[in-house]
Amino acid sequence: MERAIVLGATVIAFGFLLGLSALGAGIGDGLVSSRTVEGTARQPELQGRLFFLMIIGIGFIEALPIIGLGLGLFLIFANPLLSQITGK
Amino acid sequence: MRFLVLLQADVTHPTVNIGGIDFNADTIRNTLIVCALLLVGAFILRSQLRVGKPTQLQNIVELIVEYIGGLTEESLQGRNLNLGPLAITLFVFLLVSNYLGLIPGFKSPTNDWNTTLALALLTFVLFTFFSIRRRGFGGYLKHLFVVPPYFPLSVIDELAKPITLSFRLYFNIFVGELLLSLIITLIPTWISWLPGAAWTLFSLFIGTVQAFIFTVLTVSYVAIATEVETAHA
Repeated sequence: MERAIVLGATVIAFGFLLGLSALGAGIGDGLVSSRTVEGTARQPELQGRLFFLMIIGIGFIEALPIIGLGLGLFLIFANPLLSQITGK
Repeated sequence: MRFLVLLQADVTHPTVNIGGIDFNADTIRNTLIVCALLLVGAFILRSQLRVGKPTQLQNIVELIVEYIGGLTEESLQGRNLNLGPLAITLFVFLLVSNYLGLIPGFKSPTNDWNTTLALALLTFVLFTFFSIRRRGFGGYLKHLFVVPPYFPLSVIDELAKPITLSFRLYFNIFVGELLLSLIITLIPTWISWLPGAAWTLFSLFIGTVQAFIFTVLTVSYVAIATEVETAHA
């Protein structure tokens, strides 16, 4: 019974993890990209430099959802909480 | 069920026990493969070094050295630190090791948290040591108390730098390889070449970007740690 609760809670948590981190990353990426396009529209000669800074910014932002995905996969396939309930 | 078995084969590392500590044997082997590739590349490059008409390899290496060296010089102006070679070595090592996993039959050494944590701890020791050397031990502790009630946050900020650095690189490369092997195992062979090729190209891009971010952040952390506010007359 506890096992079912833990497994269900884990799956729900995984869903929240992926959803919220993707939401945040989407908004962040959108902000960075829109500012880059705006800056390029103001000064087209800076396009290379601004594009490069955008790529670095996206690299930073996308790290967090991927960390979330990695931890989520760990929770799904090697759940550390299950050992706590069977231990009792 | 077969999916889970194949997944486990991709995720776990075979370990070897030396002196009571478990080492991931395949990560060590992959790291040595990357080192061997870099050494062979360096010797080939040196034997082909020309001034007038550079070879392709020489062009790429010159691009990397000029660009990363220029960034490092710019960030650490006048601090007498010479981090250029370290940054270039870090970048080239991470670039080759991120690319290694995309060759069928090989895995990246950076798909193991041990590798990235070791490199991140290198960065941590680097910026802490340079900070203490520049500000003195008392000065280093004092900068943690810049806003006195936030001392725990200041400490966490210092510790979070290597942790996020290691996790960013590790998870990007590991999840990339994991998805590639999932694509190959779950999609029938007659069509899996298409998403496989697309994901491999994207992984090439991600590998380059993450190697560059790791290098730039290392240099930036040292630059932040060694800046001293000078009183302007």
